[in-house]
Amino acid sequence: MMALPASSFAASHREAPLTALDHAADITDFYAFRSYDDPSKVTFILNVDPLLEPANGPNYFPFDPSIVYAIHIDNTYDAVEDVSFEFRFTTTIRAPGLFTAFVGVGNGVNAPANAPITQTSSPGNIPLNAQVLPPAITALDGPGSAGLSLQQTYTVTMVQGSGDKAVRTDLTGGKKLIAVPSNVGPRTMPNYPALAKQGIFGLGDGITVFAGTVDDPFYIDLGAAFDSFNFRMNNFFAGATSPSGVALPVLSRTQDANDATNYNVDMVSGYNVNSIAIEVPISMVTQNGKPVIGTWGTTSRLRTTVRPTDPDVNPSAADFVQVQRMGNPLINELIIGTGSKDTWSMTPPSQDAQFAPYALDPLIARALNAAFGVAVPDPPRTDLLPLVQYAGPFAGPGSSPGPIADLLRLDTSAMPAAKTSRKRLGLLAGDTAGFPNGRRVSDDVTDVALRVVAGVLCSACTTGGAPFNAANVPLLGDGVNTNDVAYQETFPYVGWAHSGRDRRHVDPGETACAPNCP
Amino acid sequence: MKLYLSFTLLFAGMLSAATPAALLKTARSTGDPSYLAQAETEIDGILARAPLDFDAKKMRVAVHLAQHRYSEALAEATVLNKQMPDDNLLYGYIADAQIALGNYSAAEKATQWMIDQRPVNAPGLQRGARLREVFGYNEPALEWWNSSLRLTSSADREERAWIFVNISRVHLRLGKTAEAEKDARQALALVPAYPWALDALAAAKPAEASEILAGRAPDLASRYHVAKALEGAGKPAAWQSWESDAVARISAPDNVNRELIEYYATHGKLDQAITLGAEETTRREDIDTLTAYASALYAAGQLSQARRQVERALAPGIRDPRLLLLAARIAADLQDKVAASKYLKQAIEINSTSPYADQALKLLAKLS
Repeated sequence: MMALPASSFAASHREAPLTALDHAADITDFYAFRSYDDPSKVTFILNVDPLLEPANGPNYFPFDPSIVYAIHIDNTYDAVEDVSFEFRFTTTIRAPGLFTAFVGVGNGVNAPANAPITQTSSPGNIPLNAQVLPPAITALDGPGSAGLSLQQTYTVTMVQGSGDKAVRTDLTGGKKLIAVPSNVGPRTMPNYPALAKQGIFGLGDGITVFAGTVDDPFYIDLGAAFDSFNFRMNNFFAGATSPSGVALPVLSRTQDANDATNYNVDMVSGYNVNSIAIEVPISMVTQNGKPVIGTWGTTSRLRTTVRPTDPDVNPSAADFVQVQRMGNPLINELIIGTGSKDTWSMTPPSQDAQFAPYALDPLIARALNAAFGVAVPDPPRTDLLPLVQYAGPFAGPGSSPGPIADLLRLDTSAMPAAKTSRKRLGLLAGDTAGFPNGRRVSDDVTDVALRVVAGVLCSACTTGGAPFNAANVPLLGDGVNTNDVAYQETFPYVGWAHSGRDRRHVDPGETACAPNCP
Repeated sequence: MKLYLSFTLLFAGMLSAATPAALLKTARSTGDPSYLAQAETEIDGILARAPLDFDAKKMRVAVHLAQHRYSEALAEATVLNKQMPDDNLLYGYIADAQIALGNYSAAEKATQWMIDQRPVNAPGLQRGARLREVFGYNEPALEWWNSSLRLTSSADREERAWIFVNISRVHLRLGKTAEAEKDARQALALVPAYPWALDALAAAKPAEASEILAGRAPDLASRYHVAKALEGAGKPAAWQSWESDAVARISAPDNVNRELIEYYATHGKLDQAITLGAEETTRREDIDTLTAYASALYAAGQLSQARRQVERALAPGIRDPRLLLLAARIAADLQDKVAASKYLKQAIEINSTSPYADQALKLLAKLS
């Protein structure tokens, strides 16, 4: 196999050189879908900070208070935000005398009779019979939260319009919104699901929010993908070859149809991620008669400017610089060239026309062709344009396709699929509520992307000048078909964070563990 | 601007162009432009063998900047930037060229992007510091020069010496001559006989300029400074040969037209100074060129024209007491006491205890 670009796959874990150095601002995945349990609403989930090892205490994974995390919605088909939701965090150390950020045991433990002598100068200065270890953490605030020393609160702002004319509305409404900490372990947090559920806040007007550490819902054989497509094919379907005789990472039809079993290692298993989720009424983010929206997430930091700024003046939107963005999964990883990835991350989607050459002749398609001998369509790959325009299934009624822009497009008029009829391959498997019609947490964007890049949607294409038959695109995949833990069917839809004490990462050679691993 | 470049990032991953990089570094250390020609030859060789070598092409931009071939360098850097938009230093090269050409707004845009990409980034902070000087933020400029110094490895002595030279310039502008001298000496301690440090020391201690500059490298700009220092010290200066060499290069990219304008203006050749100033300011609108032209016009008594040029020089916002004094003198001779007073007060505000403030106070007293 020839050497391939190192950067590929993994929805967006450390895909751009600069964000790899700024993990708190690194968007791993972005989701938008019509809420399964309340079709009048749409849910957006922005995940950041990749591959959080659940045992990595003592401070675990706070959001970065210097970052503005934002979810943007375009409902006028110009790739400019019409509605945005901004999240900003504040960190408080509530119990500076505690030895770690999160601690708690039973009903609390007092200093015993044989406790060391108390020195007035010692930081603890704990007299006999006074509490040394607080009770187990059972609440995010108030009674039961004494051991939650590091507490993060956040605000939510709705921004209507863009630029200087945007109207900003605080949605927090004086509520204390608390981010859910990572799951330290059963002694400290004996009923973590109950604790995590306290992080779901209703803000009125049908808006619900959640922020905190959760199971990373993404699944993939990450190591194999990064090892220049060195998929563990003998784990799932050995024997499929390209016309040139190269073994292919292809699933059998039976395997491909089984959305509940992993035939290979989910290398994101047992890892957490920081998640920001908001559920809002569809009417809040759409315009009458225009059910299709384009949406994306961003992280931004305050800009250091050549011209010094007045510290007494509140920063405006222009004072922030975008660190990263994400609409469709895998665009920056698979499509954008390595010399442009940081620039792409920092550019608004309305200026994506400059990157169109990458989409029309994707390097990843050529890499698939070179590595496996898979026939791929000739450029220009106009079959990929519906992903970056309001075209095909996402055409806005009576509207032009708009500019080329990487937005995750969602037709909010499509009903959500019931759990039993939900397909990991989304639209490719006939599930019209799945990717690329928005993206649900369960959608297998890796396999979808491989096949789309290989030309499965290319109806009038050629390959090497000869007609291209999309039906011949093999069932490419990594053999990982589902997440290691079950998703929730209600907001925020992701699985709760893995326990730091008891987390399990599935390694190569182990039983594939699917689904619902411990 | 001399070899106003930062090389900090040039050497990372530059295996194929290592020799040109070393030559470029030597050119800056010695002030000898012959190394630049050698570097260019080396780069041509690399590109003949590997026409797509990105690092070699990038190095060629650096060489062209050092040779004052700013328009060429800008065009080349722009092409490379389109190929590799994530290359941070290319924005620095674009900024360098734009600063030299006086396109400060374009330079600011490129520099801001550099800093947006990497907020803690010595080459970005250096360009930003230079622009802060241009825009009149002397203390914030000093802050960024110092930050870039802290970010530069102690092993990179030449780079640190170069930063000290720049800090010296800002200190001098602020009227802090003792600090400016100290900075220059720190640069010389890092790189003995460092030409730019000698210039900085001569600027901080004009009385010793001729001794300080003796033995300077043989490039035309340096020879001008040496001759000027010798003349200032009442010693014979080799003006004749310098002038003929400078005139011979008048149309070359690496000309010394700014120095030639100044020479003409101070040696009774006002017509030539004004003609060359008018031509040169159509090619580049940087503060130093505009100032040289304004000085020539002032010396020739063309006060309205002089005022127009000095106002162009001041337009970006620069707060340089020497430039403000020139503007004040021009305004005073035009009988515009209000404007003259304004410029003088601005010069005093920069540092009321500096030698420039003394001159400004005296002139202000005369006005009233």
